[in-house]
Amino acid sequence: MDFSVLTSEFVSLTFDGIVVGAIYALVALGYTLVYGVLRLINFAHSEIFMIGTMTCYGVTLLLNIAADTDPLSPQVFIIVFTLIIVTAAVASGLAAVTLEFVAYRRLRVMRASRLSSLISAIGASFFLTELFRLLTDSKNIAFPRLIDKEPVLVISSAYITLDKILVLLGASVLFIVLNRLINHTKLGLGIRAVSQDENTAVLMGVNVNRVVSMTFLVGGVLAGAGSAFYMAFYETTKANVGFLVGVSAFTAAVLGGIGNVKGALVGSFALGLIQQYSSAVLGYNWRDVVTFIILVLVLLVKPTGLLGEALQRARV
Amino acid sequence: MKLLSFNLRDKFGDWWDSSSLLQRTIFRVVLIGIFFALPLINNPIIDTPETSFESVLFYPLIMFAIMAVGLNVVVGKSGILDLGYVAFFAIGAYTQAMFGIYTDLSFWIVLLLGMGFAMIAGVILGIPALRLRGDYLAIITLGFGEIVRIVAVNTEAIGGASGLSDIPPPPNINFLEFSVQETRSYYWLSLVLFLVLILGIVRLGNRKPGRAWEAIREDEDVASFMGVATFKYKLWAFVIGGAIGGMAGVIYASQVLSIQPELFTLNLSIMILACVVFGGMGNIWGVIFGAVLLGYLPEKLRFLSDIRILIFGLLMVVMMNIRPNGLIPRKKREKISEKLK
Amino acid sequence: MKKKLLALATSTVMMVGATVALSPAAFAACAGNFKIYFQGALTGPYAETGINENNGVILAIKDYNKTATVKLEAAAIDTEASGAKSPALAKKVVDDECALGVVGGMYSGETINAVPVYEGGGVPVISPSATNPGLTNKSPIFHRVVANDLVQGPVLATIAKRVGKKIFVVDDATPYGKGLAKIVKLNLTKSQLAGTDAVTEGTTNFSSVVSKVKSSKATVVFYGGYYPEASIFIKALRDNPATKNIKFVAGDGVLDGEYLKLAGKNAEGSYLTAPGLPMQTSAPKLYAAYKKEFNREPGLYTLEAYNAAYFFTQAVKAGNTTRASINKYIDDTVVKGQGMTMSFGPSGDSETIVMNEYTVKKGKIVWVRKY
Repeated sequence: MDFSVLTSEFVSLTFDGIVVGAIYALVALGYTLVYGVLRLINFAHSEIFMIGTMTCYGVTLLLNIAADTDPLSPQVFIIVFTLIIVTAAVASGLAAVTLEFVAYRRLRVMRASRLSSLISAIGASFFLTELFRLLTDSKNIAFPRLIDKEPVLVISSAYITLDKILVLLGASVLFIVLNRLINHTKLGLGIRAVSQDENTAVLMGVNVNRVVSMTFLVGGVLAGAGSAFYMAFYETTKANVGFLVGVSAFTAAVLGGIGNVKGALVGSFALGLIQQYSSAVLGYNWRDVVTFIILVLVLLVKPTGLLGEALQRARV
Repeated sequence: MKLLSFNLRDKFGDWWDSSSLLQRTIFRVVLIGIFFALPLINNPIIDTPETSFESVLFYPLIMFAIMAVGLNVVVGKSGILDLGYVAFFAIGAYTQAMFGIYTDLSFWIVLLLGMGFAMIAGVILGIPALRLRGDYLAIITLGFGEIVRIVAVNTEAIGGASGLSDIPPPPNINFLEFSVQETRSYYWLSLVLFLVLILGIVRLGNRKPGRAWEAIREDEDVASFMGVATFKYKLWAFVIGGAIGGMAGVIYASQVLSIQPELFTLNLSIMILACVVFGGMGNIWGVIFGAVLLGYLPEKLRFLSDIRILIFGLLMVVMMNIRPNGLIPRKKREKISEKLK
Repeated sequence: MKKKLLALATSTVMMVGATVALSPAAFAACAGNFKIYFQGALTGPYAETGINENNGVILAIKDYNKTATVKLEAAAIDTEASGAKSPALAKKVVDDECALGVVGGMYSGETINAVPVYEGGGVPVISPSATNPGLTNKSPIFHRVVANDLVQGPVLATIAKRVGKKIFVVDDATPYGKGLAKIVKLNLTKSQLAGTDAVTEGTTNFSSVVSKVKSSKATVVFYGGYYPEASIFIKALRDNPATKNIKFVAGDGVLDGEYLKLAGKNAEGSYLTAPGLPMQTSAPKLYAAYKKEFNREPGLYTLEAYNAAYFFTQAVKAGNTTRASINKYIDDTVVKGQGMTMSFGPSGDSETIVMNEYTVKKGKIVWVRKY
């Protein structure tokens, strides 16, 4: 156990943890929305994210941006990146809606057990991962450096670079938009109604099928946007990138209280920080062990996560 | 549409109920005889083209079957979603490896030790985890499975990333030799233990524990209200499930002779869960069938080469959508109202 | 009902009996071409390396068949690099009377679990990429072309010590990476070892590792692992102003064209070791032929796989068509392959492994010296 790194690099680790947390948040929101509405762990959500990353790469190919290109000028970057985010969000959103229709809809209509949907989700996850492995010829994808990574600001040990600021800004904007959607639109009302009590929602005239599709769409769009930030930050992807990111994001959602949108955000930042700090003290290879132990401890004290499930849910 | 509503269990169930004791015994004997004879059969229809059928019979088929029965006690009977079952398998395997390499203890004692350690792990996992509900419990069990694997990778004393080699095989029983060439001996050993296991589980299922588990699965709050000691029984389910997984692990390690942490991944937990769900949760025959199917199919489908895993994933989605309760779902208790009619 | 059951039972017994009786004799002679099998991952997450190795085998057999009297056939078993799947597949190879030898396994786990099976059938095995030291002296039928960690590790330590005073060691928790890192650490004194860390395959977030490196004030980083993670790691190091100029040392798992592609300019100045030269330099004709045949770049161990298969073809060419005679040939003969000479000692390890140091200059892999 080595606390020296933690103390000397504390600000840097904290900042990096928040940035990583922001990316997890965008994926975690997808898990938590779907869970809130369907009580389903959408195992294939990680592949929705992966599809987003592949789409980002595809856009750079279409725009003929070479992998070793110099960073773009700010104006060009904004245009290009907006294009990438939008395309990835659309692609992921559509993929998510299709996924729901193909893998889960029938099971939901038949009121099958949740485990059946879980296995269907896992099958879909296998299918999508393998599909993209074949499409990418099992290779790692290198994403061009679109934005310069020279630090623009240095606070103690932390190097603040433009891509990190981009991630934080982007995640914040998306979260604010999502909040508006959930709390101030008709669709959001429908989502909250269905997650509270599906039967009553139907009785009140809510088109559940449409709400479910829209929930998947929103989750997919968020994951797609998250994938664009992921690519700008890490500059690499491969067919099974979804797995590691997915497990972390899902853990974050549970940590914060699954089904709870604010919880997904809190859980994600908490997880990002836990991961960074534990890596510094015990080494990266013990990171996941520490994460799960902390998760167990949190759940022992607060059985429904840090922020609990959405207010309406009294029982699982 | 008629095909989709064809229910194997009901058709078979009707025949079973109407047959005599002699018929049932003959059926059982013939069935068991067929399973024992499997390694000796060289039939192109059942043979797996690119893999040795005899080896496949041992792993994955009977290993999956044993683990599926074990997980069924946890998930199928008691309704506890366990996503980290591979941990018990790993503990059993590492027990055999460590005790086999470093001590002279007899295989049978190590078998009991492996089951014992797995049971202890079940208790350690169960006490915190079982206080949680549904999907929170699931993520904890997933974490547990991963923790066991990561600890194995990071701990040099038990082999680290390279694992352990030169694990001794079981001692010869009469004429039965256990060599890596002749997997049939391992298969038969496993089959015998498996039959004993099934006997035990079915007995338990018919008695108080089985009924308690079913009550917990259907509605835990009501069961608790009605006086069922839910926590105790859930813990028992965990421990028994763990013991079974540990048993499989010990036998597996004694066959493969070298183990590495990468053999015990989340993927394997998911596969066993898929066997349980596919086959028909709660129904022991269903999960056995599911295990056989999910272990056998990938080997049979090797001719698909590249797209093999792709087709497998697709099959999972399609199968669940067509038969959401599994291929051989458990018998639903008849509603009181129907009985009164 | 009773009659039905009796009929069912009888027919089942008859069917079982018939298939047992009709099953072909256990070991008939080979009915077709002799085969050399490749064992590795052709699907799943490790398929890239496996496909490239398998292609090497296919090409070697193809080249051999052009002028051969006793033709060979290239076959493969897809283990997905899983030690769980390899024994059953290996048994099938053992049962295939036409199988004369195996190039494989690809990774150590699947190899360790398959070798006992091959040994039972006397099938000679030459692995192109399984590096675990535990495979040395494992079996009389096992040989490998690739460098053992015990050979590569000390060389890497020497290089690391030469380029810097404080060395930070990172591994990727695979048998290969951890094995290599362990040997390197053994060759460093306490004051030379600045710190350690371990990541996993698929890691993209190296920020905490970089923070650790920065805090340790190391001047050199050694990475034990493969090129996908190495390229992300070197990028993270170069992006951080504190570690921008840190020296980077890695082994043959990183020395690949893909590393240059994925790391870009950041690869510049990396110190890498490998037992052989990359294919482009050491066997340019083969490189061109490979690209033409498979329409892709050769991979990390393509050359090793090609040469392993080539060894088998030479054995057959010399008149050996049984497993035992081929195994003896492998033990006794020195074979000059493409870009490397192969000779195996009694431990199964190659006796002719020479470690080479490379560096990346102006976007190209450049040979520096021999060890």
